[in-house]
Amino acid sequence: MDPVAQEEELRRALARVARGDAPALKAVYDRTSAKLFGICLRILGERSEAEDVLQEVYLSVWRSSARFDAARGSPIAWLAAIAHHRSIDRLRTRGARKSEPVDAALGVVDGALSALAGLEAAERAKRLNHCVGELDTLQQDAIRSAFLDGFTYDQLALRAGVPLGTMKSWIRRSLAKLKSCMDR
Amino acid sequence: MSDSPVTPEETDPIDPAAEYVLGVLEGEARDRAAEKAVEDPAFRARIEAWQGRLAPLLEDVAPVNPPPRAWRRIARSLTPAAAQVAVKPKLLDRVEVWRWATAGLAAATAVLCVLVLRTTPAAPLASPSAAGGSVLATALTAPGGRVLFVAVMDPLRDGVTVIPVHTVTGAGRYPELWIIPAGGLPKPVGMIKAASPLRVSSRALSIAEERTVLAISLEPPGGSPTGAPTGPVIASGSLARS
Repeated sequence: MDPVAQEEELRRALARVARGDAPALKAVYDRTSAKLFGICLRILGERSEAEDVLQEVYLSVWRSSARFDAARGSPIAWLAAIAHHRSIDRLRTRGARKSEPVDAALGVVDGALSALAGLEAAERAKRLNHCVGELDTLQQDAIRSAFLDGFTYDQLALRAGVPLGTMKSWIRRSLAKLKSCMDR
Repeated sequence: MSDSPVTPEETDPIDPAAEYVLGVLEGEARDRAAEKAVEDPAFRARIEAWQGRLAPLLEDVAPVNPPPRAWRRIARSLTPAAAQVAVKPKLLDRVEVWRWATAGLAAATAVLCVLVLRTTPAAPLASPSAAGGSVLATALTAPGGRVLFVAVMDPLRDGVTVIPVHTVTGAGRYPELWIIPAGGLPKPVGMIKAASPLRVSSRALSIAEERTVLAISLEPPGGSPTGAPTGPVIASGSLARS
């Protein structure tokens, strides 16, 4: 199935979930859980915690999916943002960073959405890559590590071997540049 | 950094919404942002905008199949939610449901069956076989074996619907529901009006699981003054999946 049709199907399933249709939640899960579990695992680095957070994500969708605004964007990007947010929350509550490396992908269910799907999402991804590409290499790395590995300012500074203030200013400038580049 | 010309956006103070979404904040700074996200719709809108901007970075994350137990856990937590969503408004009007019950465990089981059956057409997955889950419930029986109440847990364990089977009266005392964890002390859940099915919500219920005991004691109006049962325990039952 092409990404646009997949995304449309996911939107319809989410609309049914919002009406309390539990089988629709299973349909959403089947299409999105590998992507979301990948995100939780990448940030948390630990399977049992990643499973806990995955459960939280789908239960939060179950309880509040009416809040998914179909006009606002790609449903899988919305779900990915929830998984990302909750994983970071969990990481900060735990207070320490993951220690183990993450296993590589172990094969993905057929029909699962591995990309964030949709033409508009693809367009946004292209745009973001272009804008990230305009940053200095070190800043690109800091932005990616912060978002994808869940590093704090302190950890980023330590890792790059720069003072905390320098790292903060790199990140803040990078965010400001990204915003102006992407909203252009 | 020093060799690039300073542009206006570099001198603007950065929006904490951006740092919050990126994930670099910790401790109080993250807590503050989380609170602001709840209180301030404009801040929330900026968070959503940043989520939209940064989400494409997640394209790079390799998908990993979660183990099958991950879905089973989710299904267990939500199966009765379908039931609740579909049936709750009607349940409270359905006073006759509990009046049908006469006495004994068979009657209590009948009440549960009615609840479950009423639920099924509107929420197909609510049937235990479809999703591997079921309703956590118990008949609260008097020491002599008479069923006085039926209690059905909400799926998220934040509430319980108590259906009186028999009217309970005590001189100026009223039924109070307790939850008793294995090896633990009773925690108060809430007062029960004797006349109609009642949903009681309490954080205390989050510890509910199979075999957790619910009990009812008779207490002064407003509940036990000490936080522990002071009156006679008139009924108890152990939660089971039905």
